[in-house]
Amino acid sequence: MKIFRLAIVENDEDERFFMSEAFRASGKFEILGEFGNGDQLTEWLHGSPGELPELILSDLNMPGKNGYDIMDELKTTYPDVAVFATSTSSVVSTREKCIRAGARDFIAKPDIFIAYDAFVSELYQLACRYLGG
Amino acid sequence: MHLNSNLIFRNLAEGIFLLDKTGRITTCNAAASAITGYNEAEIAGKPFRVIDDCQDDPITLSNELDEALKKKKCVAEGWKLRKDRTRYWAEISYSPLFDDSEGLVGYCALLRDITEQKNKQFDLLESEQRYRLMVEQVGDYGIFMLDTKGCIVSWNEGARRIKGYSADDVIGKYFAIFYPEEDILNGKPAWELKVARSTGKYEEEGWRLRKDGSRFWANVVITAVYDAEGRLSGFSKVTRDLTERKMNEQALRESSDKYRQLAQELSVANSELSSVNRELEQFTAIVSHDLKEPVRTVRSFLYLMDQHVDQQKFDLLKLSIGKGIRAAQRMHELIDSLLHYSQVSKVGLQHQKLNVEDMIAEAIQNLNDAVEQSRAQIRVDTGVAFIYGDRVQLVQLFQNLLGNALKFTNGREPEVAVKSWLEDGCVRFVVEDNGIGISPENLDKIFEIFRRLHFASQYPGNGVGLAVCKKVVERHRGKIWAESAHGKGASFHIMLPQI
Repeated sequence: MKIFRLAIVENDEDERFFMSEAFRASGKFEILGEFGNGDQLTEWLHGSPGELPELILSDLNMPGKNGYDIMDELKTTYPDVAVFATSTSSVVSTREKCIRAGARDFIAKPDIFIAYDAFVSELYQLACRYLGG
Repeated sequence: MHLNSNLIFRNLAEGIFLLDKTGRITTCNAAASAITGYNEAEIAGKPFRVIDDCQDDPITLSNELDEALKKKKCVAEGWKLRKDRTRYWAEISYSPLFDDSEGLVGYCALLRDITEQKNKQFDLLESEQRYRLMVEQVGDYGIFMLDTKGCIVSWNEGARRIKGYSADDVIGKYFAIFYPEEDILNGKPAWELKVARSTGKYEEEGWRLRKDGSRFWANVVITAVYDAEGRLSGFSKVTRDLTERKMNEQALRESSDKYRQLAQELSVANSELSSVNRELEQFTAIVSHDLKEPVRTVRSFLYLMDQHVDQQKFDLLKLSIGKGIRAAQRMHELIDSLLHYSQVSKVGLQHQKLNVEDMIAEAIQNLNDAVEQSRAQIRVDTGVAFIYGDRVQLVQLFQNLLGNALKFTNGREPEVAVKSWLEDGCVRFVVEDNGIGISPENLDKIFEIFRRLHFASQYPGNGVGLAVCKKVVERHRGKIWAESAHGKGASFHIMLPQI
């Protein structure tokens, strides 16, 4: 089974905690880094980490560089890294806006952040589809 | 040969005929033969009227000879036929000849061929007549002549049609009869002639009167006319009726004015609609992200607490309750801010005369605690005494800007300057600080609602302050922007209309 290298960008610490717990429990992802916003992510990327993530899961609303800023920036600096956007929004236009901005896809966050299991499976399927299992 | 009168007879270029008392030719000279084509022998003894091609006419005496006898001279002219039957125009001067005792002995007829001269005259006459007829018959242009004093001396068909007067109505009248009363009172007709006299021509478009008193829009050209010696002999006046064109132009202008106004109204309505649309879109985004987030957090912690209770992990409850309360608190603040923000656009905008210094003093007063805590130095230097606008909103504007200047300091004591001056008919305000500054890529983003550059743990806030500032300034038909040089703090610039 393919294990994807993942970086998580989410400003809410509690949310990020439950999110990464679910990813780790699935055994399908290796988490290379967890960041509070785009500034922290790009700082890490520019510091030449030993391994680059294959995909980045990014929240949209964050202080400083937000999700759209990340898609916009990585489109040119790291075009090979697939960005998947996520947020509480279930509005169709949000997904379209993300894909226009350069995201591979958009997944709505679960209703409560202690229930990330289904979300993790959905992202795994999407990753297999876009990046090859 | 001696010089004698015979030589005249023989050599004169004019034809000379000597006639007896009855009008019969006795002799003629060589020039006479050359003109008529008859030699002397052919016509001697014939009535002089032979040169009129009346060879068999028994009447010898003519009216001309009678008159010559009575008045000692008679000059006549007319077409004659040569022997070869070609035509020529002859001028013949008859003189009676008397002997010493005053007795009539005969006549002398002096003949000149003036065909060429006469033809020129005929051509001229013909062309003059042609032009006169043409001018008279032109229907679309009123063409008439004025004498040097401005009285009408000729009139054409076009003038009759345009102005409604017949030639009999107007010949001899002063041309001012075609002008509206106000023009006559202003001496316009005489002035037009004066211009034509001094510059050769006067041209204009204006209202003129018809015989029935109705007005028409005329194109008028008055040209000074000079005789061969260069003396002014009068004026020609050409008038065209352009009323229809004038009316069309007016109608076109009116309709284009109307459409321009309509387009303007549409454009205003359109921009109002799109701004409402943008606000709606923004509101959707706000509800779906910013407001949903804390609700979801509260809900998540409630579920988590439920799990804690199920699992008898009571020691973990306290932490989750605290986080839930903080999330609920954040939600409360967000709703308040959003209401505050939407109030800015909903409440009717006041237009009051405001003392600028008082307004800024009020904003500083509202921030009293923060000023004291941060030990801030605020320098106010207003070069503008008054401004018109909504007091509550403008105080809020400066309060938010000053509040930011006190907040984003990285621990340093804030030094803030508020300045204002007149610029391009607007009032420019600048709020300048010595704080952490703003990187260039964020200078526009900071005005977006709920947009934050820092974690709440570092600089608390909810990302509404500058969005409110932008909205207040835009409602006052102004502009706001931020500038920041690296390491030199930030400055916020506002341009507001003076009135």
